[in-house]
Amino acid sequence: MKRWAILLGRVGTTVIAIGLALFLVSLIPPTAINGLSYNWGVAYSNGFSTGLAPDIGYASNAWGTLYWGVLTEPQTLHVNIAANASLNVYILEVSSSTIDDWTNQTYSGSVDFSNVTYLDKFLDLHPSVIGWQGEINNGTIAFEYTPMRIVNISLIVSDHSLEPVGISAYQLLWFSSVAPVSKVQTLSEFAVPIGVAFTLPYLGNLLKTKKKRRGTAKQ
Amino acid sequence: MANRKGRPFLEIFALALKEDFRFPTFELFAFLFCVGTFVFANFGSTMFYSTSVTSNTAYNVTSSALSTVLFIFMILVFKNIAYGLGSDLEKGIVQTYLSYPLKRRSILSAKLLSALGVSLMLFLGVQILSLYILAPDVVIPQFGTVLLTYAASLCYPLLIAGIILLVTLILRRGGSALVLGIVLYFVLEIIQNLITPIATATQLSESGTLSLQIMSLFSPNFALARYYQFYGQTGIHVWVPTASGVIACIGAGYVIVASIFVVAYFYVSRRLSL
Repeated sequence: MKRWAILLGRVGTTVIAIGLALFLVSLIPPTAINGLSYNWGVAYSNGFSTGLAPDIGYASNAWGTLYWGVLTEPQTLHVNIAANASLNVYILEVSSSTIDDWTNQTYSGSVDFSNVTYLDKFLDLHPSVIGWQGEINNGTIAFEYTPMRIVNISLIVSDHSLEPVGISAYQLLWFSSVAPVSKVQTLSEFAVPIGVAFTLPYLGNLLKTKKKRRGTAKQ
Repeated sequence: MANRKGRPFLEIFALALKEDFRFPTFELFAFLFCVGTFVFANFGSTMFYSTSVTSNTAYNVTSSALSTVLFIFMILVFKNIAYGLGSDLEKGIVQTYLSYPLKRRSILSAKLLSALGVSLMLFLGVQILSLYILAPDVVIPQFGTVLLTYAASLCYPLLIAGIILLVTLILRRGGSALVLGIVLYFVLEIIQNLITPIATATQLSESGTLSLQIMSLFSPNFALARYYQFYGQTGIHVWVPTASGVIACIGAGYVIVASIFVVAYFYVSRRLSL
């Protein structure tokens, strides 16, 4: 058998092996690595329940940060929020102080940083920082967010109504995968067919050799 | 002329490749390297507090990805050198190679290129690709640290590979060299783990620091780990190397490795009777 066919075949089988390894890695389920929650309506004092917790209140036309931190690509943030009114929820790929800094630099004089107008202006000018956005209408919202790189994230809520509103509960759960699942799956989907294509000349030659051997044996 | 010299070398290299990586050895190890890198790297479970990636982050990600996979790589190298070359010597296949118009050192080079070079290429290729998929934000800006970590971590396996090669050539038996290599690997691992508490206990004497420095010559990753673990911290009384000290340790480590391989080449050229 020709050596180039053998070499190409072995390269192909190796690419298939790597593709299968990546596929296997993508099947490993994520595990919870961290959690943070406001007690879903129950406040605790010295370990004992003392009744319903107060809502986290937001004045009319205000915005606030529920959480900010750093997230990496194999990590996913699961978010659950319950509110008694209509609220906009955003995951922004910047720290909340970036919005304050922008407001401070853009507007002179005394500024109410919590005013939702400034947040809306910031988002209009920097739409690329919005990682996820949604709305709660007097109920709960649940979503998950996976970044594409190591990134600062801020979980922000904004109230556009004329009434003060409140968040009665929220829960954040961090999950970690062994690898960025979508990226690994895509690579696996490409690697296996490429590997098979590389292996075809080798398999063709192998079949030819076997046929020749059979023919010689019959004679 | 060069073509005439190169062809027998390639013939022996091809024969060695065929012997060392029978189907599906190469594929199986590629699979294990790939899965091992993702499973053992603890990048996903690390909570970051800043988006700035330091060399310390790159070292931690690379060394965690290396940990167990390096042992799998050593199994492949042990198999190829001790079992492959050892059985060639035992069965007298090396005598067939001597019929080629090649010097003995070229035959050994062809065997080592297959046993060590191709294994190393597979290992580094799969590892760096997997690390790039896992943490491109870490690997690209800190590529120098990633390479330094590989250089420091691979010195110790190459040292053991060199010793195994020498023992295989002297004993002309693969089995004994394989057992000796495995024992040596675990003994050095145990010494590495014991030496830090011993050095801490004897920190008032010079011997504590000296023992750490000697260990760093044989396993430069030991010095690199201490550098990233303790550098800049106050109150550490036991030896912590500087960056140039770590590079000196890596250099010295590779000089030791190279000298063992030179001895092996000398033995094959002048002393090995077949």
